[in-house]
Amino acid sequence: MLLALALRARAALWRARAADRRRFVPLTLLLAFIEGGFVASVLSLALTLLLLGAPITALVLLALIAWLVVPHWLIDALAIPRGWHRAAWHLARFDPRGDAATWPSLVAARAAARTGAPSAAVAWITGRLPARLDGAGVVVHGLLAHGAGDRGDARRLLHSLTALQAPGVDAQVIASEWLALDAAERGAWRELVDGIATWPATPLRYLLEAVALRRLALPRAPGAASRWLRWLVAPARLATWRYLRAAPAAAPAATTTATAAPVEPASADARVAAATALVAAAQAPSPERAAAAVAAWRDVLDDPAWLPAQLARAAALGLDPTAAVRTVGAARDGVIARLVQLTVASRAPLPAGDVGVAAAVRAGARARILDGLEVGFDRLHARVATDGGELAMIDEWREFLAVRDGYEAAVAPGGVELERVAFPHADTALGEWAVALWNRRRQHHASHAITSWLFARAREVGDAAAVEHHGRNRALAIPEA
Amino acid sequence: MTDDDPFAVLGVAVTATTREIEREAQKLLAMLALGVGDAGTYPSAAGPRPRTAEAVRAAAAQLRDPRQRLLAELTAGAQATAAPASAAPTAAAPGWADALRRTGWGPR
Repeated sequence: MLLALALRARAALWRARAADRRRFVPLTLLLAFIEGGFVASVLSLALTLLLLGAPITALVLLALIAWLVVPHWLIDALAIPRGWHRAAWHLARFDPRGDAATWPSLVAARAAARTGAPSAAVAWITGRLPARLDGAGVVVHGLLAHGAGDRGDARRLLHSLTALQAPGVDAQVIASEWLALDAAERGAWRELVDGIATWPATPLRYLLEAVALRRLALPRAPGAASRWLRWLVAPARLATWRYLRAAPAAAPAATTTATAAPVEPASADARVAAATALVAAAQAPSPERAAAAVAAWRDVLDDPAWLPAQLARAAALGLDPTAAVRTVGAARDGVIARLVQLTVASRAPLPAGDVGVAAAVRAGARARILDGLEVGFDRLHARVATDGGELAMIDEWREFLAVRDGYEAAVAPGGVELERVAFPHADTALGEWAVALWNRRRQHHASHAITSWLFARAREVGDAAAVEHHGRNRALAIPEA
Repeated sequence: MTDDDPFAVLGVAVTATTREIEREAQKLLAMLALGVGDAGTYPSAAGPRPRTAEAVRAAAAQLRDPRQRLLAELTAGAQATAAPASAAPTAAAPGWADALRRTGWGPR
């Protein structure tokens, strides 16, 4: 009776710890105290049995208690490191850290990832997932992708939990710790800090957030005592020791280097400067370099003296007036086409201006971006409308993430003005997709995520009809499994 | 367009006459055939590039045609620029090497 009460209290404490990061350390210490009590009691009992001459009973009792009371120790110390996905799955059903419905698959995926996610293990684990893709399913596929060596896919999938309405605490906890470690590995300390408002605290995330805040020398960085406590309750203490002691980063001198003028033409001649800017932008594409190339060519081609000078030069080279006009026009168009290509490829902001080079580049880039989006949406529309065009649900989800990210990146350079033209295409293709997923495939979580995204974009562009339509669909309750 | 600047391939100025261009092309072809001098490379905005007999002939042909020459003149003469300074910010914030693997995530 007392044991059952203690087990319940511990499960409640695990849930409370995931929900409130302000009480993370005290709750962790309390949990450690309770588990220490469990272990001390069991060891005393086993020792007593040993002394009474019942070693078999003592061993059986120890194994039973370990399985029922501290399965998470066995999972973390044995099943995951050795890649025993089946053992991890069965032990996780008693793990106080998670829900028995979702936690086993998550833990099993983590174990399988340790051994490179062999296909038999993947089939075994994914075969136990519900047919309807939910947050846990997305994380399971993300962990297995990491096991198979595709870190980028894993990162995309785990990040995508934020697009789901109710991804579940277990999935969030696993994704939170994985993403924190991934960011720490890449030195993306700012990403870690930005995630504080989004992801639940886990032992390592909580510590890494403190490290990130300190490295970035932010005012809300925790003091030494708080950092030490976080380190104390986190695993891998030896490995994290040096990060705990790392001094704040020096003033970001590198930023000044990075934001220096991207192109510094050595020549005073505007044409040579423009040619140099074009080569520089092609060699190392970046929004700044593409914008600098556009500005440099604007100085050349928009100069009123340029056209007469080129026509005179064409005449000097022996071209008749008609051929000269055509050739000079072709030269200008060639440069513009190159600038359009660089602007689109580097996702530079579309240049402002209603005349000359800026207007031509803007129009060309807009057309190219819209054409690209239209082709993508048409392909999606055709697939969704075709019987048998359905993908495995996780691949449908991957496609949504790709379409969403591609759309947002494509329209960003042109701002709301460009998105107003692009949105109806997205609305048609993705709206049908969301409906098909909800009605035909009963994939309510994914469908709801697509609708929510369309709703947000509709609000952004001020499309009242779409706001109302997607707002209504978005308000639909996701049916219970 | 600018990667194969025909003026740079031939090592002549944008204002060079047709006669000067032909003379330079012949000289370069002879040097390349004999393998003498430093004719095997030419400076460009992207750094030294290999100069081949085919590239020399193509550049000379391009500049012989008035239309193509006018196009080439527009984008000729690009100069080398400083290397991009994009790696600096990340270098200032080293991460925790192998963090996921060392804490029990992903492949061993």
